[in-house]
Amino acid sequence: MPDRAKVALRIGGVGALAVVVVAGTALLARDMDRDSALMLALAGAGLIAAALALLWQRLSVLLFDPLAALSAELAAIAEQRHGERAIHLADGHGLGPVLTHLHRLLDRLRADRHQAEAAQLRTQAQLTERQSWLDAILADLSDGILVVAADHRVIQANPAAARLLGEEIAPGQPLFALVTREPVLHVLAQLSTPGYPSAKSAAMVCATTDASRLLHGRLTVIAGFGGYLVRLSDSGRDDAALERDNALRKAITQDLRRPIANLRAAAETISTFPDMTARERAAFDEVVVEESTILSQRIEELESDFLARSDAQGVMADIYSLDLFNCLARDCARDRVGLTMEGIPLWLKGDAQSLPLVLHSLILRLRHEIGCTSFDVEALLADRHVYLDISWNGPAIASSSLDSWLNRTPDGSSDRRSLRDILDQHGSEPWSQVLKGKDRAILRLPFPAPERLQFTPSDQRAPSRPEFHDFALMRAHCDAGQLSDTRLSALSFVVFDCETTGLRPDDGDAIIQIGAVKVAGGKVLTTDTFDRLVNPGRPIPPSSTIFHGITDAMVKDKPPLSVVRPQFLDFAAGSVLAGHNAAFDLRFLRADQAPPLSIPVVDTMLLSGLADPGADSSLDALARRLGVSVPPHRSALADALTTADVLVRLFERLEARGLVTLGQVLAAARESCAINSTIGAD
Amino acid sequence: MAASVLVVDDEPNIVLSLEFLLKQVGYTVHVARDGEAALEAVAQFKPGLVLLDVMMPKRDGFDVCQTIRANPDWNDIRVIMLTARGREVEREKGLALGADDYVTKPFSTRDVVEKVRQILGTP
Repeated sequence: MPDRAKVALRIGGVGALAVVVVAGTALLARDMDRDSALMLALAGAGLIAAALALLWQRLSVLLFDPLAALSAELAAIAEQRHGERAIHLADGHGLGPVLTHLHRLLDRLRADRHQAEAAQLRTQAQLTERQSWLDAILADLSDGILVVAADHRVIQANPAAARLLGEEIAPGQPLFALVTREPVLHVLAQLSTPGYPSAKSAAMVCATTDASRLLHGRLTVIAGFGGYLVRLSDSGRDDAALERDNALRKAITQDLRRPIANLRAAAETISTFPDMTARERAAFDEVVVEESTILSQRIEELESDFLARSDAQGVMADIYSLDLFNCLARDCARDRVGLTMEGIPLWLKGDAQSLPLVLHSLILRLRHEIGCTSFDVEALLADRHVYLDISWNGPAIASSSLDSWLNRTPDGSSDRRSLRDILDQHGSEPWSQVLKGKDRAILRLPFPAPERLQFTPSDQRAPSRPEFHDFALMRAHCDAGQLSDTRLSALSFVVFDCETTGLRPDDGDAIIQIGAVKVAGGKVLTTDTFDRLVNPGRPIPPSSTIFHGITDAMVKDKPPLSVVRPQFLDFAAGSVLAGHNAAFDLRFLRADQAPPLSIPVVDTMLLSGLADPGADSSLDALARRLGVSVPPHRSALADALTTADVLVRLFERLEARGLVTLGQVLAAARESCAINSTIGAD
Repeated sequence: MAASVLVVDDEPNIVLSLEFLLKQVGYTVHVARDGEAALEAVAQFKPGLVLLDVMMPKRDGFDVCQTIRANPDWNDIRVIMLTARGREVEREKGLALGADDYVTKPFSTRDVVEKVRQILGTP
């Protein structure tokens, strides 16, 4: 009989016993006295209680105890992720098939888990295998490969990349700690331009951040991932192909022109003077035959050269002049030659391997020839070329000396080609000349301009931040003090700009980036710069990120303003500060409970008002008016560089109006403040 | 001496044509075959104009042009450079070093004679 029936029978038995006892007690009690009846009732109740106790004990054995044990067992199994523990219950429980079903359920669960684990293991093995293949392929490549996330952090890099960049690369490392920022951002911007050919990949040349070398590379945007791939190579040059290339270039630009010139001249002479003597005519006929023969020979040579050349690879790529100059300055420093970079950096087309060698060799020749150990270098935009000018105090170099230098091979290089061959490859023809009206001379090297735009059109540039003027604050910085009588051209300036989380320092907005550049002797010292990110100690609102592109992640590990401010003041020590709408930045610089700055500050916005009263005084508009190029990416340093160029050109304008000393300029600026404050008050 | 022209080129075939044509127009023509000979001829004849090839043995045309320009006595001498290297940068270089004009080979001899006539006037 099943346990359930036994239990039911027992409960029924106890119920029947209770009815019999109550009824029997009632019948017997009628003839008894009160005490006897009470005794009888008590005995009956005792009997029923004993039966109930027996029933409870039986239920405990059959149900309650096994249920408690089952609960404990299930809890133990649930806690145990692995293992095959079964449910153990003492014999004689009344749970019947429940336990059997529970066991089946457990078995099913375990089987599913085993399957899932096996599938996971297989997937993991496949992934590991693919990763090993990828590692092996990457390790075997002579090109450096960097997989970079959208936030410009390196996800993976191969050993060649580490070798090319000269350091171990840890995953998560910012790319711009390894290579220069501008070429990468330039190519990314180019690839995201609407209407740009659908290619998702473009060539680039970037420098290592320590300026030790220029690397050719290719940047490929990875669709659907948001990141990109950077391939870097040391030397993509095929010397044999280059030699063929040079031969072909020479054929087109000279070899064919000579015989054709001679032939044409002879033919024209014969046709112009049909009456010449027979002797004269015979001489010209001879020229025609001779030159025609030479010409056909040249064309045959050219044809075979051209066919052989079809596999030649072009190694010319767009190079950012700042990267080139930095690498060059480093090389020259080893030879105790100082280079000072001037002007706004430009793009030019060149071979990243040979170009620094040529420039380095030429500078060493210059030092030897003129005994000068410091040179200025500048990139200039010409009609169809970009000029690289190397300048010095002294006379120009004779054409014959320059020629003999160009016939040499580059110093300290295995390149077998002469400097002239390398420059020919660039379509360049250098010369030296004296600068008009100065005691300075230049060595000028024209280079092809790049196919890309030098500067991104201003509508693609991030918008200017809204301007808030504080003329009252600026007035406090319009006292030139001891420098009052010093001429502008004799002063050193530090032109600075800050990026901030917002516009209101009083409401907690703070500095997130400081950029600055020095200006001395009327020249922008492009490489003497200060560029720091600052942790503002508060989140950066996305509404401000659109102006400067700086995110919380970028400043997370950066020092606070209390650390960067003294570094900046050290950099600026001994110079006069300058900025565009400098009051805006000064309010933020003093917001950090630091003592107020009481130093003269030149504001290009105020000077703009002096030069062109009533004209738009925003930095972009002012730069355009003065013919200063505006860099494509907004950052504190980029804006400081633009402001520095603007400052130098404004000084030229002001000097023409008789404002030549710092005192004169600041006094005029103070007047301008006073007028503007009055207008503001109205 | 205003009507004398010095033709400097190491290619005898082009010299033949230029010499013939310029003589037909009526100029006195001197010839030099390299850079050094050119400077000697300049010193000797003080020509009104030099037709100066760039690529020559010994001293090239740029060198000769620069030397002529460095001598104040030769300020009046006009220089037209001739070159077989058809590149814009060389034109810029020639003019930067003091040439008055620049002609790229192959050129029309009529144009060259016309240039000479514009500068020196009809002899």
